[in-house]
Amino acid sequence: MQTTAAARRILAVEDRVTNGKGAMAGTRGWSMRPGLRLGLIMSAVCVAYYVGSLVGLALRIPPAATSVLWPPNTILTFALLITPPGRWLWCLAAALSAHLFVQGGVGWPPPMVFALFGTNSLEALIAAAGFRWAVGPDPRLDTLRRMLFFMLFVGVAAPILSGFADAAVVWWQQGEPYGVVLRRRVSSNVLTALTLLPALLTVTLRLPRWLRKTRRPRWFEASGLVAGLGSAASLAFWPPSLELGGVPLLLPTPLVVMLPFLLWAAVRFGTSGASLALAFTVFSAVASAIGHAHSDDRLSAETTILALQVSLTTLVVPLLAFAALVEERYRARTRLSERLAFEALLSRLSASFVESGGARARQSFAEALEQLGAFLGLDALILVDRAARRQPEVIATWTGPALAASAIDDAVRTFTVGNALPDVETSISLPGVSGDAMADWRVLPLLGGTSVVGALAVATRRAPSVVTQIDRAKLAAGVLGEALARAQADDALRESESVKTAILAAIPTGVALLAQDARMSSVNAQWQAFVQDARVVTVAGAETGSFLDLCRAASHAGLPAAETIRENVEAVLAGRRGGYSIEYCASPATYDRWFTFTAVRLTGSEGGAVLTHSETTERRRAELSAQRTRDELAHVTRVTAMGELAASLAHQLNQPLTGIMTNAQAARRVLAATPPDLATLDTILVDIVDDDRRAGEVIQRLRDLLRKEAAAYGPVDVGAVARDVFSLLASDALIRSVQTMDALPAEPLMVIGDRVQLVQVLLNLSLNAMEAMSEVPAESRLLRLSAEGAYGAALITVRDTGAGLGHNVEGVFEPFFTTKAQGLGMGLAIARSIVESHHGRIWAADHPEGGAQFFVSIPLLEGS
Amino acid sequence: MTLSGLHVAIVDDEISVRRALERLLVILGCRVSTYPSGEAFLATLPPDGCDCVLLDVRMPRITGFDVQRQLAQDWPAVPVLFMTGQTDQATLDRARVVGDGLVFKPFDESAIVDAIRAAMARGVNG
Repeated sequence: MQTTAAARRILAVEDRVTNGKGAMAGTRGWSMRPGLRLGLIMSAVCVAYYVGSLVGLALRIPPAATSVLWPPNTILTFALLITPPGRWLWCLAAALSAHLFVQGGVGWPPPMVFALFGTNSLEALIAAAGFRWAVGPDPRLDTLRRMLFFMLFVGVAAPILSGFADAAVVWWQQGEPYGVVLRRRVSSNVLTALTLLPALLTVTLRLPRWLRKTRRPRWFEASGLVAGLGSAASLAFWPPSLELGGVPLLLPTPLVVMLPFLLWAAVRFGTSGASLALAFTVFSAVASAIGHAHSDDRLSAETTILALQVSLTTLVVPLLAFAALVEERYRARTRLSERLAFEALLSRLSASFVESGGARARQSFAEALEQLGAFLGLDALILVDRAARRQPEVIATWTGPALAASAIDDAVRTFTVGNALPDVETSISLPGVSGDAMADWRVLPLLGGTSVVGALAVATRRAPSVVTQIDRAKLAAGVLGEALARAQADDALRESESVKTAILAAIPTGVALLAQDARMSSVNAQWQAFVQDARVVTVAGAETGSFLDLCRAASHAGLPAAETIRENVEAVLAGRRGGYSIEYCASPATYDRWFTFTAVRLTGSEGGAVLTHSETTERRRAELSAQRTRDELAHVTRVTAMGELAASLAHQLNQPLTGIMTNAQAARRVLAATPPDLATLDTILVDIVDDDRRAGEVIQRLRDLLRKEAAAYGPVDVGAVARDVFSLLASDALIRSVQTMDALPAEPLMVIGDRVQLVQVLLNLSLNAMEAMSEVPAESRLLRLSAEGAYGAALITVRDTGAGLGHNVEGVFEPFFTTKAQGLGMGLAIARSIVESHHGRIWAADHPEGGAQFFVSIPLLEGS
Repeated sequence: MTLSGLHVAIVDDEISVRRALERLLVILGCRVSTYPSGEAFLATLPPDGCDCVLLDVRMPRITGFDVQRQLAQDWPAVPVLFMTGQTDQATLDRARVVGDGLVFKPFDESAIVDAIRAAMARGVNG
């Protein structure tokens, strides 16, 4: 697709080149002052008209008065063809003076002299105006169309139309028969116009350039052609008298002898060669006819002239048309092959840019400039990179063989300073540059997409073909622009790659980027570090290959978590989950090591995921250590609480002990009686067992609270915990004259937790509450404990009727916060740490009716 | 002095203590009335032929001291014997001052019998 579009562009440009070139050709060489130029033209026209008249007079076959060829009219037509219409009057005036000079000597009356000049001028004007109207101001004859219009207007219309007037003048002034004069005039003028005018145009417009440009082989060929033509002409028109065995040898007709050379000229040298060869042939034929004419045969002379004119005209017309056709085809072929060559060059350049990436791109640009410069025949090229947010930078230069590399130094300096390069095509002339240095540049912006990515500066000192060169350079600029934009994008990508690598390296965690197919596309050094640690098997480490395979290998090597990780990473890649995180334990022989792994899905169109992997053994140990510390502290505070409850516990134990003792003594009395009352004895023993059981329960609760074990999490009924706490506290409340009230639900409120720790939380809160009420009158002391399930959590409320917290609400859970004379100030801090380790919340507030209330909220077990 | 025929009131919120003490005193020949709280006992006043009151010190709402104060005000002739498991000195001192005797839980048979006798003797001697 791209090649086709490029080809279309090339064709469009070529068309413009072709059209524009003609205009240039028509006007070049007119560089002198207008006045002087006009004078020269007029002089030339005057002299040429005069010489033409003499030649015309000489080309007569006596005794006939008619010229075989009459050049003046054609010369005037030629003058009009190569001058703009504004100067035609001056040309006619110059011709008139020559006309008067020539015709004045003949002795014709002045009206006839002027009238004949009028008809001559008419012919020239019709020819020049008609041809100009049909094909434009450029008098080239190098296409068939131009040649046919030339024949129509110059060769046919002008001589015939003017011929009518001419014949009329002669008939009116001399009384000669109208028809005869008309025939003589027309046949003569037609042949002259068709023969002489192309030759004149060739000699003035094309020959100088041909002589300058043509290489040696063509010279040889041209010389051969000229020699051949001369030989053939001498053979054809001045034949030697040959006899063979006494019989005169008859040569073929002269034109048959000439024809091969005329065709040679037409085929190999186009209209230029054909027109010159034809002019030579026609003039030779005419000269030959004049030389061989019998001077006494007037009628025969007239007939000979006519025959000669007709035969020569019939030769000239097809040959000129043929030559034009040949030239047109040759030019088309040349242009096409040039186009193809340029197109091939652009394709090669494009291909070389595609193949060369990174550092090689620069070399490619240099090579591209060299090829372009040589192909287009330029003198110097400078390629400037103008990537966004950067100083312009010259990335390649080229100077032609005729220039020293230093000739473009000034331009290179200028283009790399500041913002000297324009965004649109501009001609730049560098002031202060002198000598051999290139001062005049054409700057072509290089577009990558729609933005200007650089510039191509072109310098050439040869004006004639600059249009073609610049237009082709623009096409090349398109290719260079795209390549430059890509090179800049590559640079930017490399830069962002290096930034990415730096960021990845700076992250203390192992990071790997996964493509959608689970291949690891990029990993940092921390990730790779895991593979070097041979003491433990993890899921990190490798830097290439499939992460899923890595997991399988790790699973095989004895890491159970690897399989889970693999399944979840697959789910992340498949988009079934947005992310995944796990902390897993790898257990080598010596000690446990912990690792945290996360996978986050990349949401771009290409998918993939980012993996992180880090060792968390230290953190894990710190956590375990903190947990142990917390457990120990909790234990200490439980023991402390037991101290506070000692009196209460003694009371609780004392009651059943009293019952047991008393019952035992009653039993002894029963046994001492005769007979013993066994029924009473049985009742007594039942009571003793009951009392003992109650005492055992108290001891058991005590043992639970004094137990020093790690937390054991499991399903716990918060309501049962609250009831337990109330049992523990019942005696203490009695001792402290605190009334208790509970509102506990009949159905269980199940949470996941450690029973002993939860008892401790409520015990701490309740002891605190009772302590807070020690200052208020006994009858006002009320401890309320309630529990309910709400919003997926068990909410436990402990409320007292003390003085309230006031401004202490915020700090009450801080360690060492205490209002008591005795006490560590750790009770509430421990309660908070326990609640938080149960994923719960604890907070405090004053009740509007007085007193403080503490709230504990712990997530309910799902499904309970 | 035997306890036979004595009418003893037991005021204690602890049912096992009440039951065991009632059983022992009945075996020893007493007539026994039990009350689970101070309010229950005060509601039965005047004490109908009650010779001695065994009062638990620590009870919810109305304590043994409250009951004793009420009793001493209206029926000062009825001897009061305090029972307690407590150890704090203030309580013990007060019980000794305002009461006619003090026994520590858990108590021996002889301790309670001696205490009742002593209380009865103080009450009789006035």
